[in-house]
Amino acid sequence: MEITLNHYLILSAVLFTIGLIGALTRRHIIIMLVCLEIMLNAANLNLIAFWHFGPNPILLHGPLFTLFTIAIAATEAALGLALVLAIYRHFKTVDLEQVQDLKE
Amino acid sequence: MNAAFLYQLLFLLPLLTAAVIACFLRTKHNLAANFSVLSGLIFSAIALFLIYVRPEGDWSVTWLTLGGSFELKFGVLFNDLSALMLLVLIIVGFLVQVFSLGYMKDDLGKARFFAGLSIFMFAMLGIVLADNLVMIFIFWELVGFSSYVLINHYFDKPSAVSASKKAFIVNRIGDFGFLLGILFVYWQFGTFDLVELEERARLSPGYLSTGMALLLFCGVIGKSAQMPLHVWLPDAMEGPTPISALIHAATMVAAGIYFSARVYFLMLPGMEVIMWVGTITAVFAAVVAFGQNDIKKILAFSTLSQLGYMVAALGLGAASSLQRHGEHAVISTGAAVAMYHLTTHAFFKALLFLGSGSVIHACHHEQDIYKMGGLYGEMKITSITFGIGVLAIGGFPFLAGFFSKDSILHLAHESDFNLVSYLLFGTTALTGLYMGRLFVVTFFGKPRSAHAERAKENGPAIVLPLVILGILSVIGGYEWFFGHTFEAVIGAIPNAEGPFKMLMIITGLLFSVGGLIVGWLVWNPSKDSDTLENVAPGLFKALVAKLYFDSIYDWYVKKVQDRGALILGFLDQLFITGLMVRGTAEIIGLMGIVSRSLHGGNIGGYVYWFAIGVVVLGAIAFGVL
Amino acid sequence: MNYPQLFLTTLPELIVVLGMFVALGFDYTKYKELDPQTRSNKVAALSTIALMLGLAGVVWQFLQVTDGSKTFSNSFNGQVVLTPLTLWFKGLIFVLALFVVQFAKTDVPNKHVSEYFGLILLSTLGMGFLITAQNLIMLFVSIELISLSLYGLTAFQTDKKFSVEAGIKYFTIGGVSSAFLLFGLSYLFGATNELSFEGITAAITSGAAPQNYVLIASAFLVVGLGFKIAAAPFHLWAPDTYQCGPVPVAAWVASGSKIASFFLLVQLFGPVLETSEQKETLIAGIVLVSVLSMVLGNIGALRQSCVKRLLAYSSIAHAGYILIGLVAANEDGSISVLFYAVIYSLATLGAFATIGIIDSRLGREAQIDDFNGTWKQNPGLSILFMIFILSLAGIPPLSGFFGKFYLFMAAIGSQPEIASWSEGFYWLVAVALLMSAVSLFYYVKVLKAFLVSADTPKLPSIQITKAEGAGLLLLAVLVVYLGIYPTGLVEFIAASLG
Repeated sequence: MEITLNHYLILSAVLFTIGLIGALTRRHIIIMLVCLEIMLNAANLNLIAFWHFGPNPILLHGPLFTLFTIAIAATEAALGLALVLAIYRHFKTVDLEQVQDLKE
Repeated sequence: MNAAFLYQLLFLLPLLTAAVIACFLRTKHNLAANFSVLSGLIFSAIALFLIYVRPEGDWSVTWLTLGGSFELKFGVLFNDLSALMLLVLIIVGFLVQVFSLGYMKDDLGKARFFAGLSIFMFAMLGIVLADNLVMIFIFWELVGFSSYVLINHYFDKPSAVSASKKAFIVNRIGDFGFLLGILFVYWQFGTFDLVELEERARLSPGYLSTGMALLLFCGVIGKSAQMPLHVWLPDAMEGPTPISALIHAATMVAAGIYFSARVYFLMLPGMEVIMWVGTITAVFAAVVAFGQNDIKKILAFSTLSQLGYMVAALGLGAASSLQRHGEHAVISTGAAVAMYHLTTHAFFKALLFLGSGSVIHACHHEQDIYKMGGLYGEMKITSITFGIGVLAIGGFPFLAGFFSKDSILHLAHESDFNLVSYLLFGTTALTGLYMGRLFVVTFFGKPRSAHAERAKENGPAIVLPLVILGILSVIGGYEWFFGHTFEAVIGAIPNAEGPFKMLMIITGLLFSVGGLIVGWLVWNPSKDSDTLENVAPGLFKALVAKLYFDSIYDWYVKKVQDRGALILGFLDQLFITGLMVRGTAEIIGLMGIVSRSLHGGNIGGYVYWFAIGVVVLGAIAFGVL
Repeated sequence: MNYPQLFLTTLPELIVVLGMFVALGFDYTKYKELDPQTRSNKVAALSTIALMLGLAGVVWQFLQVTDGSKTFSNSFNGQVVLTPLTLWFKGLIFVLALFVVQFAKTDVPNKHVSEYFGLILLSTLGMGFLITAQNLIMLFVSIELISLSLYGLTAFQTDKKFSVEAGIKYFTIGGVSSAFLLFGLSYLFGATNELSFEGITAAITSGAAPQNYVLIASAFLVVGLGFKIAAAPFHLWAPDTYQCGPVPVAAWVASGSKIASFFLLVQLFGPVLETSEQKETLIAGIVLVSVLSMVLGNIGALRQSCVKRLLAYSSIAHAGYILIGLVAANEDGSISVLFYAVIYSLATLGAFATIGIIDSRLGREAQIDDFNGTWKQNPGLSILFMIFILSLAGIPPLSGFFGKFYLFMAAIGSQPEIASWSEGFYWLVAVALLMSAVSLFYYVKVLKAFLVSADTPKLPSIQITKAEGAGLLLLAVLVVYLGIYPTGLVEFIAASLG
């Protein structure tokens, strides 16, 4: 079977959905961070796939964009972990459900 | 002289005055007051020149353009109608400024007061002269705001602050309808310009509709304090008395009438409703006036009642068959009559308010008429001028109020609405009576408090405006007073003749003088308390509570609106944490949902909101919704 | 690549980055022993100098560009596009940042002074780059630069529980929305095989791009950017962030970040909405977001007693108003969106700054009741605050009124020939008018608190610093000026867009 653009797109959509569902349902902040990474990587996969099947792969647009987003995802994770530490210091837990002192 | 230059000067003068006072004269109170009066004098002179000489030329500048497809102009449309309104504005405005020199003499916020007055004059001028609906709306809001500031003058009193808030919000409710109406007009006619609108409305009357007229009328209901948005006006009496005279009796509250007259061609389809609103307000306010003991509140309700007359006249004019299409008649009969009554009312109501101000000033800010009494002996000029005002509002023959009221009743008589005619007629009797009560209790009998005992006549700055307004209340209704300058308005007023005229003279005499006599008999000035209160305490209590309108609004805000917001908040919470129970395995029924909803602020829940938005957007994107 | 040109193109940003490092360096070494407030003043002064020099750079570039100089004609494939319009908005961002620095320096949350200002400067850079970016990579990088700095700033008071909690909420929702944004961008890239806006627009208008890809991309972008502008239903981070982050940060999120996001929205969606076959669908989606924002924002604000939270809900409502200009989908709409974004930012920055001043003197977050009697104690501050609030409420002749007027006229004008209320956007404008009437209730509630006298005013007489006073005064003057004479700015935007 030949693998076409659509296969990649479906895979990335599935990855994105998994990430989204995870981000919605998981209580653990770190798991949630992982899910955010999955969502970003789904988008990265799209970029590479579109670039690969696009009319002019010579331009390297896709990989370039992906490199940037990988770097950004790393900084995002770093900031996220810093926040997790701060949260843990105050709440003594990383369960998102427990972090809800703010109300109307 | 070039008219455009004069218009610019007219707009700039009060603004500059306010700016100068705000920047340089904040603490130099007397200088600020004198400066303001001087500027008012020049302002009036220019306005008089414009009214009577009518120099050639227009003034219109493009204020802003939006992408080339839409232009908003800032311009002037000057005709007989606006000339008449301008005349009223400058006469009352200037006299009130002079009066304030005396009345506000020792006030700590004098400079602020005069600056606010100048801003008001500017805003009111804008309404009078504006040539398009957007401009009218802008100045409409600006007068609302200056009224807000001036009601707030005694901000140390919580009641004043509450009153100003109420006035602001109630007005905005009316303005919401007004804006929708303006939107409606733009949709149908594609322009805001008054002249173009009139042209297009004449060419294609099919675009007019009752909805449009009534939406525009919402603004009038708010500003001119008609039922059911009348609640703000009595409270607005918390402001200084000169403000009550100028803004809340003579000019700003009349702006709604003026606006209706200016765009009467848009209002035509809604005239019947307008007539009824006016009539009901007139009757209601006259009845409630009996339950008030605060001198200014009585006058406020009498203002409401008279405004009701004007609005009823507006509606009657179009409903009746009296429309004349003479050479100068560019205005409907109803609008002309309403403007006529507006003018005379401005004179005698300003007189009454300033007279009450004179009394209040003499009695050291006592406002309860049952703590006054016996003032006639010491305050002769105030008493006599006040008496003229009472007679004028009661329709004493050949005083200003007689003629205008006469023409309103004539319109009602000629119309097909007998009930309206009877109601308006009956209300004149009530008017004579409650004004009689006010006059008798305030000025006669023996002084009922220490302040009243020590009351002395005020100085010339206070008395002079009273005398002038007293004279105007006598002569202000004759045709020769207006001359031919306002032909398009005054010429359109129908004249009663024959038996009806006779009837008017007799009833006018009967009601005004009779009101005083019956007032004397019923509310005997030697008594210390209200007769009605003693005879029918239940009725009196209802009248004191202004027939519970305010309570209904309070109830609405407390019970309906606040609870609505609360329920919405609850649903918000419910939605966040409850309905979207985390994970599919955790659907645990309503009880669980409710209990979970009690702790909000959950991050996962927030993301759920987000997800729902995404799903709905997706549904739209893929054509499901 | 032409490096000298690149250097000149990014000169203002380079200056600011340099200034930031200088400030950090001094703070870590020379100022180390000083007390936090002195350090804060010194670092703020350095940041101010950096921003001023940066602003001078922007002005220089602006003059060059308006003179027709070719120095900046190379936009590096749309990475940094310098036109009069983008430079003007970038300059505005720098000016707003200057204000924020002045307001921030009196009340630094903790001892990490230079990091605080450093993050403000970094987010400024991000906003500046976002405005000049017409390339997907640059767009995403600058958006993330803004977001990450703002997450950090929100959670900056690490010793306060609420600050951290607001930070993690902002971060998680922001992370999800960034993923949506990137996913949308990837589809946009897939549809057009271009990274620069120019190429993308050309591909979409020529019809070469597959419509279904464009549609997916747009839907995801609406979600991602809806978060940035705090439009419902992507708004839930806003109340917590505004309430619990440091006040200058809230002001910054509500002003600078919004201007940049709306600028992007106009640039990205303008061409798509004007030409795309999917126009109807997209507009329906945006209308939904707009109505939801107006309703939830205004009604949510009604029941708030914390003033910052109230302003947060009001900002949600304002996002709804602004989107009305976007659905007009024509040039008028774009102009009105940009105009409103500017004046909204000025007024909201002023309002937040005032509250920040009051909060810091009060030592806790201000409830509406706390304002009782402020008028008597601090008439100047009250008048300024009144101007900001009335402008937000849209009372003429302040600029808020004209902004709304533009937005609504643009929406109405976009479909001149219609038969009934349900067509065109008359109904949408009617909803907006109703909602702005509702908004009066809470705005007037705040004003009333200012005026009403209290037996024991909770606020002492407030001494504001010269910088704060000058900043507030300038903002108020701008708010009034743009209301009385909006034509200048509008014509400038129109000319630069067209």
